[in-house]
Amino acid sequence: METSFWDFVLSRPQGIIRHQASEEDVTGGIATVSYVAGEDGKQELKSGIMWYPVNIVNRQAWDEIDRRVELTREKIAAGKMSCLCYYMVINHMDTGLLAKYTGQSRLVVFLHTIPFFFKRLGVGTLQKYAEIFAVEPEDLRQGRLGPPVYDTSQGKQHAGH
Amino acid sequence: MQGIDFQHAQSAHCESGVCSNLLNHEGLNVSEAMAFGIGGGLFFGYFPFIRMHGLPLITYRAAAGTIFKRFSRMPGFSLYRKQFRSREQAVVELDEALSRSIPVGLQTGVFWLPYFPKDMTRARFASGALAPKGKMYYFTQVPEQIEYQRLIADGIGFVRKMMLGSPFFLIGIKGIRFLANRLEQWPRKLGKDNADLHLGHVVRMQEEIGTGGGGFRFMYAAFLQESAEKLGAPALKESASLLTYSGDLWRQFAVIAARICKGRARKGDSYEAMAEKLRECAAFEQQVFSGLEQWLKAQPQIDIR
Repeated sequence: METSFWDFVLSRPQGIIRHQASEEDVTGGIATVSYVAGEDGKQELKSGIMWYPVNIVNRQAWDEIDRRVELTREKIAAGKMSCLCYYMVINHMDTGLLAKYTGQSRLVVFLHTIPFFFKRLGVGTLQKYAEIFAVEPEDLRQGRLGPPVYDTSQGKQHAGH
Repeated sequence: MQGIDFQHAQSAHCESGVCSNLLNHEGLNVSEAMAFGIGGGLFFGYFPFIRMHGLPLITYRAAAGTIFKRFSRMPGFSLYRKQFRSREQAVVELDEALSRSIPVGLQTGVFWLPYFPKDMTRARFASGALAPKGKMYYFTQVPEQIEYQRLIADGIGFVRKMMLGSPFFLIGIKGIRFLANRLEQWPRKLGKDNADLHLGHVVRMQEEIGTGGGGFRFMYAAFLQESAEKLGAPALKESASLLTYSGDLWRQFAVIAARICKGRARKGDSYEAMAEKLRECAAFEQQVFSGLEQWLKAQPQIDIR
C-alpha cells in the first residue's frame, strides 16, 4: 500500500517535516539523491528530495553574491575599482585565487584592481584575464560589465517555504 | 575512442559513489553506503583558519581521496592514482586510459563543473584551498570476494579513531563541541549579518547536494544497517538508529538556522539554542562511537587503530 505524505512525516522519530520540493531548485533541474529513513528506520536512497532549509541557505548565499556584485558595480562607477573586481566577484574569486590562476603575485593582481594600474595594462596580461573570465580583452579594456556566468535568481521562487 | 559499457548509478556523495560505481564495473557489488563506510568517509572537522570565500572550512566527511586511499591499501585491491602538474599530460593520460576502455575517476573543483565537458580540464585544475591538482584514479586489481568482516571492522575503527580518539580539538566530537562554543559567540564577535552568513555556511556544508542529508550521518547509518545484516550483528543496528537520531538532531539545528537566516526566528530560536543542539549531537555521536568501540573489542583479531 502506498503511504501518504503525512503518514511518512508522522512516522519520523522526530517528526521533522521533510519537504518534497520541485527539482528545479538549486540544482537547475538535475535530480539529487539523499538518504531517507523509511518506516522501519531503514535508510534508503531516494531520488529528487531536496530538503527545504537547503534552499533558504542557498538563497542566502546567492543574495550575498548579489549584494557584493551591486557594491562592486557602485565602486567601479565611482572610479574606485577597476572592472577586474567585478569579474572576480561574479566568478567567486579573490585576489589570491586569481593570482594563482594567472601565475602572477597577489600584489600584482591587487594593483590591477586599482583603475590607475589597470588602464596601463599590456595586451598579454589583459588576454590572460580575458581567458580566465571567458570574455573578450576588448570588454576588459572598455570596462564593460557582462552578465554573470550563472543565474543568480536560482531558487528565488522556492525560497518562500 | 570506443565507448565503455559502464553502468552509472547516481549517488548522494561523489567519492563513495564513484568508488562504488568503479567497483561495480569490475564485478564487485558494493553499494555506495558500503563504500563510504569501509572507506572511512565519515568525519567532522572545523577549521577556521582555512577560509573559502571568507568563511571557515567545515567538513562532515573525510578529505577527498581518503576513501580511494583506504581501498588501495586493502588486501587484494590495487589502485592507479596519479596527480598532475601539467594540464596536457593530464588530458593525454585520461584519453589513453579511456581508449583502453578503463573507466576513470577524476577529482575536480565543483565551481567549473556546469560547463562540462568543455571545461573539464579547467575543473580538474581548479585552484584554491584543497585544490584537486588533476588527480585521477582507477582500479588495476580487485579481489574476487570482499572480506566484509575485516573491512567493515577496519572502516569503523578508522572513523572511531577520528571521531573519538583525535587529540586535536578541531576534529571529531571535540570539534563539534568547539564549533558549538564558537557559534554561541558569533553574533557578538562578527555582528548579526556576518554571523548569519557563517551560520548559513554551516548548514550548506551539512545539507548540500552530496551529503545524502544530515551531514553524511544518514549515509553512515545506512552503512551500519547494511553491515549489521551482512555480519548478523544487532549491535551495529542499534548504533545505526542512534546515528539516525543524531542526523535528525543535525537537521533540527539546520531548521532553526534556516529560520534565523531568513529573519523569521521563532521564540526560543537563538544561537545559544543551536549551540545546545550541537552539543546534543556531539553527545549522541560519542555514544554511537563508544558503542561501536565496544563492538570492535568483541571482534576477533582486529586491532583498533
